[in-house]
Amino acid sequence: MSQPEPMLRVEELQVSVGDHLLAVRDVSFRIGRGESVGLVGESGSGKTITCRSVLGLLPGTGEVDHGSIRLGSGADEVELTRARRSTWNQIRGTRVAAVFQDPASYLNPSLTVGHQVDEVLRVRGGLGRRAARERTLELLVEVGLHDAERVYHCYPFELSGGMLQRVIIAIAISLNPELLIADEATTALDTVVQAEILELLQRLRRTHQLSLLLVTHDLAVVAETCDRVLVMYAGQIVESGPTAQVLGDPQHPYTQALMGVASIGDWSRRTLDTIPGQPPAAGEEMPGCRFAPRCRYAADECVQGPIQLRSVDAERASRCVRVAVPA
Amino acid sequence: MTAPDAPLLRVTDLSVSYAKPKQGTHLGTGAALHGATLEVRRGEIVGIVGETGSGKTTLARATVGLVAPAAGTIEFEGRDLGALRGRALREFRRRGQVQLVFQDPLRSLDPDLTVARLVAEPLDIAGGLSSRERTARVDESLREVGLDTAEVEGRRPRQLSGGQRQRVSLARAIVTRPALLFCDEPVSALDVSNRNLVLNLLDRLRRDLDLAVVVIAHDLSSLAGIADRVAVFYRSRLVEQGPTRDVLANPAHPYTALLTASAPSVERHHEIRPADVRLDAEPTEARAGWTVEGGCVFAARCRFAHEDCRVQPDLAALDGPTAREAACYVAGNWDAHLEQEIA
Amino acid sequence: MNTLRNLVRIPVARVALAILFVIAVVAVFGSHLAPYDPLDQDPSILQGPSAHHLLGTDYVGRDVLSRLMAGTRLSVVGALEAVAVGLALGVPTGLLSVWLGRVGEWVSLRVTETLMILPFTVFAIAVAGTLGNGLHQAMIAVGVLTSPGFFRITRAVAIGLRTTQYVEAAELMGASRWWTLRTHIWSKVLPNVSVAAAHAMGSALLVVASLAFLGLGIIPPTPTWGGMLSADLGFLEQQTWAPLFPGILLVLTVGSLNILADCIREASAGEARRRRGFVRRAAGRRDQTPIGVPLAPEALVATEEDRRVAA
Repeated sequence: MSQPEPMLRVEELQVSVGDHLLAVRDVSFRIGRGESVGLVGESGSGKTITCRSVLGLLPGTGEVDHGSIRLGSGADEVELTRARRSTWNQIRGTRVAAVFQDPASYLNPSLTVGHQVDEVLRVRGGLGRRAARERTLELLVEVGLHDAERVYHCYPFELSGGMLQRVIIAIAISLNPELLIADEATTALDTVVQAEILELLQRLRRTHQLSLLLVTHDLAVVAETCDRVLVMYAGQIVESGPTAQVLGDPQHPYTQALMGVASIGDWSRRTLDTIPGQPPAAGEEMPGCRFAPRCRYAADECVQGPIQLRSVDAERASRCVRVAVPA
Repeated sequence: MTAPDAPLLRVTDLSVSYAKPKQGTHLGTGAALHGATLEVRRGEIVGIVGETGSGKTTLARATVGLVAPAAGTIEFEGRDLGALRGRALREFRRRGQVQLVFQDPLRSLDPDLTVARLVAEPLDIAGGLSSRERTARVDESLREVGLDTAEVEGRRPRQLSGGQRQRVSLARAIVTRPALLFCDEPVSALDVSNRNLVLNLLDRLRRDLDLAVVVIAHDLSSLAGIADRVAVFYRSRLVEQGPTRDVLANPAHPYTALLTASAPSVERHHEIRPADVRLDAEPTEARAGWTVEGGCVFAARCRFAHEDCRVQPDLAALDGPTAREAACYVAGNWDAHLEQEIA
Repeated sequence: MNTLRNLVRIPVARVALAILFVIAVVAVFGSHLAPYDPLDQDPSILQGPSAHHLLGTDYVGRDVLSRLMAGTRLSVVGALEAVAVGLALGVPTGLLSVWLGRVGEWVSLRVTETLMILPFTVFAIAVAGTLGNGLHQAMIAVGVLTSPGFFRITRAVAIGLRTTQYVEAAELMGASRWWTLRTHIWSKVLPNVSVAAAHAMGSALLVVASLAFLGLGIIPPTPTWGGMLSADLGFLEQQTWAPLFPGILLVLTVGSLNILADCIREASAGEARRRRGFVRRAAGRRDQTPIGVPLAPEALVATEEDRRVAA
């Protein structure tokens, strides 16, 4: 299967926060054009900091120590780790856009929803008032708000969480970005709405040639939506590969453990699996594998030294010593 | 005393309207409840599932008396709870036989009190136990929920992790040795791996203490592993009820089907996709109006709605070996309709 | 209490507390500590600061320092009377008013509003004028006027707390109102009331000084700060600096009280923010963000991830 042309390349990214605590260690991945990639991890795994680095929205104490983030290719390529404010102002919205968890807090409660979508089109898109309004209505319909005229004049408090998230998505795609980052975008929504939003994202991917980076803690969401999956733990990527293969045959104990606790879709009564222990504290330094204390297969070699990411095959990698390195 | 197999809690035809809230209390969800009927027995875990605004939290709040019902009865051990007022109500509450565990422990635990005081509060209020007995009970409760007394008793809620807080909340609920426990979204705020820890804990408490537990959730995965029976609510109505596995594997009501189809899963066990059950286009003006005029609550979104659905269907028992009910005219038959359409 | 601990960590608060402590000591022991009898007259009138008289003498030769120290008591006691009356009338009623019905609420609010409109000093003058020359009567009257402020503050905090989930949980445990007040509401009302009380002390002190300045309520030659100010103004040509002494003392005391009030608010603000939490009425699920996450490294790493908390 030919790799789609890469439009985001993250290499050896290392990000520290606070007092030089490493939140993200040696993270590398690529996202191809039109691909959807899932980034899965518990809280504290570093997945949000990774997203924020790609968006240039690190907290005040955070900084990229090392590594590169390249957006686009060829003449359009931009190195994001060194980007200045003016570059970011150009890139955000037009090339990279994001949708976050609680839609209500990303909208101004005292302005109508239509006004806020217009705002983006007029300020960044350079459209005039009437043109912006028409485009807004089109966008609202496109994200599934069919009663666009009515919704246009609604204030955020008049709309449900699912509808607000659609509005945010409309804003995000309004300037036709290449990459959309959805950071726990459906976590706070009801099940049925969650499914609808995920379907919407898939549809937009096809119609807009959009690449999607879906960040979530729920493996089940990734299973249904993403072509490839990256599993993060304690600041590192511990496994990566095509979704079906990784979930069908996990090559890292943490992924296996996550599979055990994810929603299987089997409704029978059973004792639920758990993952014993706690993830390491942020920035905690450990001699070897960062999952070793919780891993049932942990052996001496696991704590000797830092574990590198090893290829399982052409498309898969795993950060575990038990993975046989292909000849 | 009730007969051994009589239900511990029997809610009959309970309705709660958008009444003005009881003075000074939380505004509540604002959702109405229409004609909810539910039975819970000792040693059972009943799951209540529904979207926001479906009335599931209202049901819990009405049962414990935080909201006054407009109609219907709530019987606990044969006794009518709805009739309790003032001192009698307070006396009943002090006995602590029915407990409600709130959704967010950060909000339902006083941030200025230590864990020891928080868990002891129901006993302190009820009185009647010596200081030593109280300490012993608090210790017992904390151990029951898997917390180390010495480690947590002096801490305040902010100094605990989310899962620990949830467990303190549970410890407080079981310290009075209740018979019935309502848990409002006990695991929504927890990480996936730790969700199961708390759910397993609920299961164990049910066994060890012979509790009846009602778990309210908005997502099915919380219930699937531990609930014996599940009741599905939609927009203030109970639309389906029955043994968990049967209801979720073979939903009788189209809404339940939509719910199960929408729930993401790692292995695709269900063949129905949400789009198959849902009405994709916006409902017509007419159809949207059906609900308001007394029609089925789900009519506006239901693919299988027809003329009969202009009148809200009653909850009716379904044919079959297990005790199942659904409020739908095409209950259990909609998949035949679906096949027809696809064909 | 947490607030107290936080309070003494603020350097400015420590300074203010120190100053107020000195003033309090002087108020209690002033007449004993004073070098001279404040009423003792001396032929050497209107002297400047010297070895004998650290702050000089006034127009009848009395030692200024001794008079200031003796006068502290009167001013402080007067102010305390006013604040004590205000608290006693305002706080308990404020707490109880939380359980009033619509009518009771309406009545209590109108009464307090009426009382709040009346200006302190004018009212005090009127009382002193009609009820006789008693500083105490005047200060009690001022106290009555400050009580609505305490009432409203106490009520506002208590009502906010009344609707919290932990109070609801206590209600579900069968707690009586008294229990809820005692356990959950009182300790959270205290910081706000303290802030108001500190401010009120400052205002009351100024009222006492104003009354004394105008000569109301005080029988000369009783020393008071305000009275001294007034007298000094008559002899400005000979002792230009004289009003500075009582003036600085007033400024120091009232200033310290106001700074203390600000510091108490700051010390309890962190608590209050965390306590109240956000009730984000997102039409989706209710939000579960923990507010005021302690600044541990975890907090810096877990941003959106706060919402998914590990056990």
